Amino acid sequence: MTDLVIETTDLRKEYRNRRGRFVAVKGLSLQVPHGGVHGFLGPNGSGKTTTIRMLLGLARASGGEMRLFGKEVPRLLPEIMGRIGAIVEQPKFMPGFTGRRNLSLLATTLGQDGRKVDEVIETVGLKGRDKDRYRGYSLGMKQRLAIAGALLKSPDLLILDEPTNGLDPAGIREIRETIRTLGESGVTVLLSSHILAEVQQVCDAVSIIGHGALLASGPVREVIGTRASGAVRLGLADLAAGAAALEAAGYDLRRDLDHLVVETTADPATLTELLAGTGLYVNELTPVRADLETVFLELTADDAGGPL
Amino acid sequence: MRLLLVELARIRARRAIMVLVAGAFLLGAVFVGATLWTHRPVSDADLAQAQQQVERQTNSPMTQRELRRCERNPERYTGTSDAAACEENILPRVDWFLDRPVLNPPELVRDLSVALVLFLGVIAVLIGATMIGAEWSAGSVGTQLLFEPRRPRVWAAKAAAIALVAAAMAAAVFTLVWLSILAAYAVWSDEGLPSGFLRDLSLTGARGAAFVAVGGLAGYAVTMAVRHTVVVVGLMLAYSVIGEGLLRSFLPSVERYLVSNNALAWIQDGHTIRIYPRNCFDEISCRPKEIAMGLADAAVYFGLVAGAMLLVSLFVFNRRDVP
Repeated sequence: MTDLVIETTDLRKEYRNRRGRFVAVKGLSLQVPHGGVHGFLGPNGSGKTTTIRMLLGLARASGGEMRLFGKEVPRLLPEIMGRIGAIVEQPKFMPGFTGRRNLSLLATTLGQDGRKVDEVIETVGLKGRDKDRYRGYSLGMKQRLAIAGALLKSPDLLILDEPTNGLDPAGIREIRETIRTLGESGVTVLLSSHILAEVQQVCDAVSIIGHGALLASGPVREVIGTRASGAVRLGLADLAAGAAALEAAGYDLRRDLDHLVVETTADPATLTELLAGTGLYVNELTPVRADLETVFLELTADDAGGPL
Repeated sequence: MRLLLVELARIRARRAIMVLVAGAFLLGAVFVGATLWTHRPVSDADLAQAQQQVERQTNSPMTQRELRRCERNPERYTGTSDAAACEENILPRVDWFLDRPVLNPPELVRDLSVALVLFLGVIAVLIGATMIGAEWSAGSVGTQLLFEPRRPRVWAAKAAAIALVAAAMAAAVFTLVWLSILAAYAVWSDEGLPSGFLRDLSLTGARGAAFVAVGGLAGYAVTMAVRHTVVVVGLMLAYSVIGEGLLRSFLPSVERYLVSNNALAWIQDGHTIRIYPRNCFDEISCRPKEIAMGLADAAVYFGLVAGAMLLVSLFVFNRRDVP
């Protein structure tokens, strides 16, 4: 019995068209352990959605292996699909049906009755609008309906591809809290999002891919830690004199508006002592912390898609 | 079974499909209306009108002139020397102005049923195509596969639902049309129906319902493979308007493989194709070549064509990525 909920080994997806062959996923080996919220990041065209679609049986892998809950997919997907809730890209429902009818049809597919539909409509805050036609929904309401659909199964694994797209700030916050709560309750959530601050706030771990291959993976703090710079930001009354003194002492530095950023692994006290010795007194000294965005941009700098 | 119920509920909720089904019933009503109007019995008003026309024509100078000429030379007009026969031959009669066919259900079965079933078949193709075309267009097929990833099951449930709806629609329209006609016949005529008529009518209806179901399945199969309703409508129009005409013109030998001939053979329980020679010089060489097609021929034809379409559709749906 494995603790890994999602596992891919050397996963590969090629598309062929008239212009030739295009490799969307190139030997991706991804591991998502049980429980918590796992961020799945990558620039546009890096293969995130293709990977998710292969895991869910919507796209056929060209090579490699995939396992969900230890079961080989897509062969054994029917055995475990009942435990997986998912939103892939934009919500896709019948536009002429009401939100409730769309959910009812999916619930009937699962053998559920109307109570579960009522419950998920309530959970995502669509009560009162559930009898409106889907085509009349705002993007945010469509997204909520998609989340309701994913929750119909009471899933053990929730795969969410850009779930806060189109939501207003209050909606984003609600969904973020829902995801967090689900993650804490033992549900494994794979969250693909282009809002890096959101991922940093919500996720316990993260996998970053680029050009269809894994670039970094692990707990968020560790991934950020591997790229921690150790730089400090200095505030001085006379920046030019301070810069001259530090450069003379051999420090690498750069100007950042009305501050100096000094790349150093030394004790910050050494800097203040050096500057005080030249009659310059530091009025601000803060460590420059790497964040997920910095790490992401560094890792995916040469990705053709550019930043998210 | 659960998936089939889901698909039936989905069809029931689709407005476009309900409009097409309503159109089928409207079509049936038009058929009944046109048939009964054409075969309506002669009323007192019709008789009075016809008598007026007789009087008008009898008194017209031209008729009177002809009558006088006949009476002067009856042999030329009547072939006898009896001048009294001229009135009978020259003057108009009431029945000349009441030239209306009598409602005779056994005579109507063939033509009326063929026309009705062919129209219903076209509606069924549109139902099959629009049902799955709309789902591809909305992307809801992908959403459904997140709840039931066994694609063959999803495919089969949709196919079964379309076949059931198309067959039920055809059976209901066919039954209503014929009940209306038979009810009118019972009121208008004192004669009973020949023995075996109802059996033949029922068999024609059953074959019609099966034909319409196959039409629905064909629309579904092609749309499932190409994922666009418009392509199917275009193919259907191209084949029916241009395709068969071109094939008939340039390749007469393919007559027995044309959909229309096989449809006629299936619905009518047999059909004879007549191929006329392009060049002929006497009665014998101008005689058409006759090809008799039986019910079994048509059954094999539609079985193979529909089977191939369905297999390709299932294969493509099973293999291709779903957006």
